[in-house]
Amino acid sequence: MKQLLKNIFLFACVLLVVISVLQIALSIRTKGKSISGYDTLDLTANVNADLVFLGSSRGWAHFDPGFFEKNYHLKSVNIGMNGFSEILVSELRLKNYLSKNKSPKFVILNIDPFIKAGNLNHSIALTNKNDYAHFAFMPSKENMEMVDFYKFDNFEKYIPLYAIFKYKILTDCITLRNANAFPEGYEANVEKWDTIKDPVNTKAKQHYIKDAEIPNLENALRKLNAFCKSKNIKLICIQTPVYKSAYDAKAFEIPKQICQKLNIPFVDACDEKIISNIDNFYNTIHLNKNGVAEMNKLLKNGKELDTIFKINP
Amino acid sequence: MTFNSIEFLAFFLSFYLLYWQIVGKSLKMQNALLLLGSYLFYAWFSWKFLALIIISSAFSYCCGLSISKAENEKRKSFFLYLAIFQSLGLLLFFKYFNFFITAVADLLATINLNPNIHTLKIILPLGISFYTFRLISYILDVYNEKIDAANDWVAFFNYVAFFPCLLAGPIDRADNFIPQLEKKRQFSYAQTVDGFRQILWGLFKKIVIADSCAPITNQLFDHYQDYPGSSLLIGAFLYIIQIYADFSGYSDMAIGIAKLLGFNIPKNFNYPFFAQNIAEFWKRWHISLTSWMTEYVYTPLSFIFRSSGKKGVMLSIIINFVLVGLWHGSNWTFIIFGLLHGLYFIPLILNGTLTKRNKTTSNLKMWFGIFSTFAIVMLTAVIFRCESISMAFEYYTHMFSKSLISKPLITTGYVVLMITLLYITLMFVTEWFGKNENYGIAGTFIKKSRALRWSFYMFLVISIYYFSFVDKTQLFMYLQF
Amino acid sequence: MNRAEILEKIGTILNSVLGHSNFELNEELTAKDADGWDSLTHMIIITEIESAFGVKFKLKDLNKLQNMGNLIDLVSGKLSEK
Repeated sequence: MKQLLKNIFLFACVLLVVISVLQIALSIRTKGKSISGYDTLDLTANVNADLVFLGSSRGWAHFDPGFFEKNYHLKSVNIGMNGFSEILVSELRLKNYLSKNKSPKFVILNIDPFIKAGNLNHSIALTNKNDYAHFAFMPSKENMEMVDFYKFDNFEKYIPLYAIFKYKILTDCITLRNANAFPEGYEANVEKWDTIKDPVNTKAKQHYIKDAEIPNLENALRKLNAFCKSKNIKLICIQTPVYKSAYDAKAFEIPKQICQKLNIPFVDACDEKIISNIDNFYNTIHLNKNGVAEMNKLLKNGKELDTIFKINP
Repeated sequence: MTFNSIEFLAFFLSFYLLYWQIVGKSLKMQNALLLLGSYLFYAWFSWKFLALIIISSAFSYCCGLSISKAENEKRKSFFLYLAIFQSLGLLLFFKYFNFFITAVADLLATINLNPNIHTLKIILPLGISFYTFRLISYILDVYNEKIDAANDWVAFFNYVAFFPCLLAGPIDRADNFIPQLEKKRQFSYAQTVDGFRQILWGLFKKIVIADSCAPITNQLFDHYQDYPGSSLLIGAFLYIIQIYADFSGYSDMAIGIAKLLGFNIPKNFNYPFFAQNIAEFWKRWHISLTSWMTEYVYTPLSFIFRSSGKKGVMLSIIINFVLVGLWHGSNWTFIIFGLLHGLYFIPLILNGTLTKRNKTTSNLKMWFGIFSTFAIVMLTAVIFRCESISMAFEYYTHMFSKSLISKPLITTGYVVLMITLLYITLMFVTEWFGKNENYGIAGTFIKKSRALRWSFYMFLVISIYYFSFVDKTQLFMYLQF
Repeated sequence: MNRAEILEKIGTILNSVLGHSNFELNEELTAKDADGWDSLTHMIIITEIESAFGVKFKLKDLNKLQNMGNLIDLVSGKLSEK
């Protein structure tokens, strides 16, 4: 029996060493990279941008760093998070960015009537959790909060290869074939809206923020604004367009009112012409690359941003 | 808790330590602990049916003793039939009552009689197909004086409920197992290592091979109308391999666990896909069931029909395999499955290959035999899988239609399919080189350095680790029987 | 007929059915010792023994056979009944 236990122990030790080595190799391989293009925690380290784009999937899809760099001469980076229309999440993401970068001068947050305050105690669908799985093992101090937000458990944090195997990202980690999925630094979706698969409807209006939730949103935004101020960052809110079937003037007034109340610079990019042209969208609430270009034209001509950025024409 | 679960690991670890370290000195205590453990294991799955297995064990135990004490033939037969009636009767009721009722109703409907027949809501007690056969073989062996009736009821109850084999076999025989229960088990380092090795191989087959095939085959069989014939052919191919990997993997784990407890259970699979004809196939597939059926069903049948020569043998074999099919489940598809296999024997019986041994076969003949046997067995996998004969028929017609030569579509993608095929190849190559061993990796690299052996085991362990996240809901297939 | 004669006659039958004589023809012989003597050939052997000796067995008799010695017992028993 003694010999058995000795050999079992020895085998287990060797096994542990082997999987640890493999895990370390994979961690080195993915260091500083993204494996799907969405998990930009390390990709956006040491960028030290002047302008940071924040927000939900709309923030990720609508803000083109290239445009801002060219027109406002501000080094830009987009850290919008696919799948999360919550201020809380945006703030978490911003904090992660700031732990690895110098504070930017400006933060542009995408806002619209679908944005909520957010509450970590309620289970929200953790979009793209798979992609973030390679951060789960022995997370760095800077990434710990995000790893916990994604509810990676102790097995995933401390057992080598567990998270990578469980979320099936082994081939992605090795090949890194999607590492540069978004070379333009934002989603830049060239798809046209497939109205057969995804028919036009007004269902999105059911997800507008409810009146009872507005005070929470206000508080969250106030908190975010205060946080930015404490880091000498100027927070700006831009309301980006949705397709007219999801647009309601009254609902789209709410973000404006909140920002005015909190003294946060607000720009409304929901132009009638952009909203009513289906060619600008790849689904009800997301602009495609074409639409983004239209919106950028609008922003440039509007000159509000010039004032906010204090750039003289 | 199936063998590949955390709960089982915890259970077995504590059980193992108690078994060897604490009660290892006393046979009585060891057997008592074993029985307790087996019942706990069973109760975990279905404590409601625990009473049933205990009652059946007690009944057969008493009948066995009555037979041995009986003074005349008539009394002996009485207890024999009593025991068989009790155990077989329960099996027939739980497993086939609804099927029988529906079949009778369908039959009566054809002559326009529609009696009010209700099927009962019957849940199949876990393992009943397996332990019933252990009970029946026991009582028949006692009656035929092949073994003495068991005096030690703890040993006998252990024989019936031995937890490694309880849920899905192998169906061990009393003359092999009860003597082992009546002797104290000695801890053997070699046997324990061998057991671990066999468990590793079983886990590998189940988790890496069977559970990888399952998502692909499920998709193909559930939506066969949407796929070209070439995909359906891949589905049949993967499915027969899936059954093999799942069931032989489970058997390996059961036998391996038994070894860890000091018991020797005969092998249940002997590389069936290396068989060169259907007779050899069935000597290598689910050996415990086939040998059970051969001894208690085929032999009596072939004796009764012995004056009818070849026709008698054919009839016996067909009946035998229809019953084998039926054992798997109460569905016409299983009956057809069995019938097909029985019919497969006919060419062999007719040209006398069954009885004469060919001393030398050329390599070409050998490979031809292997591939053709595999092909005809693979075809029966379809009817085994389908829920109805009509569905199976549609699957076959789809598979052999023009779309057979079109490009196959696999929803999980070609990469996953390629990896699965690579692992399947690894399994067969390993088993080919180990085909004289009790199980695939028993002798792999045994004569080489420990480093090489351990590297191979590491590779298996890490593969199991990787694939263990594939789909946690894939229970062992044979648990449903 | 004595036991040795019965044994010899059975041996000839085995030879013809199995196609070889690679086994020790004695009272301890069992089916496991002869290559090819399985459930399928067993019945042929039994049938040939029945016709060679002019006897008829019962299923119950067969189930009690453990080795060649038992078989010889059975055959001589049937012969003496005639």
